[in-house]
Amino acid sequence: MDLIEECYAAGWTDGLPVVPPTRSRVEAMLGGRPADRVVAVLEPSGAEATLEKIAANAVMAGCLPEYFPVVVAAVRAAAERAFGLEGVLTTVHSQWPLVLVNGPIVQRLGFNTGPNALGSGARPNATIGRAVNLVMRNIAGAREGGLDPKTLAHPGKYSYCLAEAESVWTPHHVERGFSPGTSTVTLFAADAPLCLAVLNAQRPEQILGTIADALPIAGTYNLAFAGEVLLVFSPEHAAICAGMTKEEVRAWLFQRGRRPVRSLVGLGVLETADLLGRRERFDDPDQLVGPVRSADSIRIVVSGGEVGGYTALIFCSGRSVVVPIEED
Amino acid sequence: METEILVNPLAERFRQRPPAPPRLLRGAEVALVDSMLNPAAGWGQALLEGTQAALAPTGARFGRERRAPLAGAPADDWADAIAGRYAAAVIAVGD
Repeated sequence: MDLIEECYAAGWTDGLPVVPPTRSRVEAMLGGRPADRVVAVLEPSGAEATLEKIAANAVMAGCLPEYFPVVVAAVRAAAERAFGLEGVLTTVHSQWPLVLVNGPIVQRLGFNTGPNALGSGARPNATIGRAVNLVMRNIAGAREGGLDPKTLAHPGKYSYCLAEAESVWTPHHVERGFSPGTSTVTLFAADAPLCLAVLNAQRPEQILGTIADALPIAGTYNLAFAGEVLLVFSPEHAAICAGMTKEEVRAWLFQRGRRPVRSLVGLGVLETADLLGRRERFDDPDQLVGPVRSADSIRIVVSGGEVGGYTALIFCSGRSVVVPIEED
Repeated sequence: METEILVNPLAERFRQRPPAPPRLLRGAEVALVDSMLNPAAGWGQALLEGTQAALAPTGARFGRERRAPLAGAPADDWADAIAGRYAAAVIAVGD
């Protein structure tokens, strides 16, 4: 049997063809690292994610060996208790791990931070995101028809990896306590991106006002549970807002990105909250509710093409986790 | 599965989750906790009823507890609060 078909028959793929994980390819991916070293125990399967298992999945995804430390870092982040991997993978909701890469490794490995930053075309973004997803499937046990019951899911399940571009703003990983010279992976439990267009804007308020208007839309899990929000500013939007710090942008958005409970009556939000045991959040009709509990849960990065006034709004559940990338 | 050519990417080693020794459950009080995100769907109840049926031959006795799936008391605090009343807890979580 053809090796690619053999991978299909074994149930190893995400639906797309994979690079067959031959022994020689896996050893090249390992680069002399100990195959049996356990990086993490991943839920819901409770499986040990060894370097060899991660490497086999990275090979299948099409990663180059130099990408391997990024994949391993993402696996370590996924296993952090704060991330809540078991809930992320086994919920019927659409959230799925999104990998954000920061630091010098972005340039060194050639991540795309230009046009199509959240799309196709760049091998590091495409294959590292896919490798993480294959690990979730083949090691953590999130398999369709099994422990992964997503009602709809979103296309990011194939690959969901983003790198932050350099800008006038403080990089995300520095805001999270790492030095600029450290490379990091941040893992988010992320819904699909919603691309907000504010074209030909002249003032920050035009952009931020549009984002604030979208933040408390009915129907997000965030409105009930208040997780995090990831905003991907295009360079154009970031330049217009460059007179403000990220912290000031967050504060602005937090104050205005809420709505009174009374405005949700009739939209099914309260019934959803009842079902999810979160009705008390909506008892007071004058209470303002939004997608985050505090301004610092609004995460801001810059990426994308120089041309175009867009910001991607990505609702995220729970808490994101940042880990350093350990390069040998 | 590993062929001569391909390295198996599937997990093969799992963290051990040994079941509670039946002798320890004899006559003990076991908490059954429905902590599903969507309790109205009844999946948690079904899981707990199955658990109760499976453990009943050990002589265990059963009590019901509630735990909010999200934003409730921290897990350790909640566990401490019921630890004096139960020998074990079976918790259904998910959605």
